[in-house]
Amino acid sequence: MTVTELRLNVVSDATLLTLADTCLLWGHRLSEWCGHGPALEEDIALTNTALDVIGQARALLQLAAARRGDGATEDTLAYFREPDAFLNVMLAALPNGDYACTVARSFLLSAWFVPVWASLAQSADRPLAALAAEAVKESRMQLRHASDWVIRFGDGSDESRRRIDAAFAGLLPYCDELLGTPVDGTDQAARTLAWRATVQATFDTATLTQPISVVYDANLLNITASESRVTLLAEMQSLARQHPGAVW
Amino acid sequence: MYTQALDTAINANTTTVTVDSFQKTFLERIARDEKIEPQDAMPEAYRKTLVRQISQHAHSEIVGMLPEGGWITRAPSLKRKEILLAKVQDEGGHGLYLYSAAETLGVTRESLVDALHSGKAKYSSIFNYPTESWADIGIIGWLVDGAAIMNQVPLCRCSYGPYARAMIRICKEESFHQRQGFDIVRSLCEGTPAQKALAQDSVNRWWWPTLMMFGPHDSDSPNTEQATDWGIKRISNDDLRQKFVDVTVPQAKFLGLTLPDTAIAWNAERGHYDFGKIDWDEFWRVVKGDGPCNAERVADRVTAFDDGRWVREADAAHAAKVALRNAQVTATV
Repeated sequence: MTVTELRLNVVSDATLLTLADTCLLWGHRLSEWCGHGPALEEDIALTNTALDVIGQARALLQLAAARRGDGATEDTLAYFREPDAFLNVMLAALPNGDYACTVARSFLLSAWFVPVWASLAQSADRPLAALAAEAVKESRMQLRHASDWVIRFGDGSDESRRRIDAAFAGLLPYCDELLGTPVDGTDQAARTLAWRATVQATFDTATLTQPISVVYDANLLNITASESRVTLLAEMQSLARQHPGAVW
Repeated sequence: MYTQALDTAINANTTTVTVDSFQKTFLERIARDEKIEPQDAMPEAYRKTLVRQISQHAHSEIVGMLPEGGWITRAPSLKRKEILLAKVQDEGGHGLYLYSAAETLGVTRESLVDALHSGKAKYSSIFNYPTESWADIGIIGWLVDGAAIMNQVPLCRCSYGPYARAMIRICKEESFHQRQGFDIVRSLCEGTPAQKALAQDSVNRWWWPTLMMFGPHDSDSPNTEQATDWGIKRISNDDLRQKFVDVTVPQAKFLGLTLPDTAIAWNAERGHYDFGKIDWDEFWRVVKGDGPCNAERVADRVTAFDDGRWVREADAAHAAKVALRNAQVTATV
């Protein structure tokens, strides 16, 4: 945090961007499902999550832009930063994969966001606390929705069991980075405990037996996640960058 | 989005009303503006006409998610992204209401979806055109949803209760969609020359397909009279099309856009705008499956449905396991 941020009792620009970029890129991935969901009801539900997290990203980016005070807006931050300036957790940018992967990612991220928002709702940074108080309700709903599907897939058909096992095998290696991501004014150790308890409880109900902690190659994960982010942003930013300065 | 008056599915024999006492009583109820409800007796041809129209409308909503959905990830501002995402989600919701309304007539959603995937069922011709630029998102909202509203508002007074009630909510949301589309187009027209050019190019491509949305001329719509007697159709295709042109020409002028029809001129004698001839060959080509995107749209839907099969099966398998466990618990108590 900068001296000014400490004096004003506000969280750092880096924390705002970490949360905002994670929500934005995750929301982008979810929005790719719109019109292609496995059932009409799921299509609508998934789009709700996309709308929730893109809304959270907007609110955070607006806060960050206002505090920067250099003419930044939510759109300059979203559309005109280079990929390596994004501070999202790696999980958020990964391609959707199949529906099991999409559900597994939503489950792992929302299990992290619930304690993040719950802590920030008590923050001395009042604008952020107000935002977090709303966001935690949405994250709880997302967690419930994703958990329900993890359980259905784990305790459903042979194929769904195979797919959800594969999804978690691919995504759990990214969770060390998720759990190690600092968020100002929150207790990282307590959050990790809460996340592990939530994930384990759902795994148990879903009859999933794989361990939550897994061995992984950090470099390989980094390369995959970085490439995913570059591809995602190339698409997301393409039109805005074709017309710099335009108002839409 | 919306239903299209294609007037193709019910043959003359099934739509001929035999004036027996049941038919007479049924028509009298409709003449009194009473709503027909699912549990009420109704002529088979009335039921079939509604199943065809409501399911075609539902398919149009679902297929209609595709051309706009492709721009969600490229929306040029976060505000536009959020609005477009919510709008496309609304279309999915409309599809859900409408499939549910159709199910009250004794058909299953699965059978209706099968008909869409096999090419047996139609959907609005407009969705077989490509969305080539961001301006198309604005033009679809302004023109296509604008045309949909013209067609759908009278359906709020449709004689069949579940359809009429679904349409009330759908029309409210479509009204928002139309306004957001106009707002996008206005932003483009007030923006840079490049943005204005995008809007003009888009209106050039979408104007005629939008006019086709109202369906064939009244003289080529043999079932209009029957649908009117049944209280399903309230205003004819040509009257709705004229109303749309009359409303839209001044809006285009306000925006500074040229409509691609040199025949558009105010006719003081008629009290309406005259406009040029529609290319009906193109209309029927697109309706019959040879439009620019027919194959792509249906293939997209089929792929999404097939890819989601294991998800639906897992849901059913889990529900069966839970039901079995609950039954075992009940049996041991």
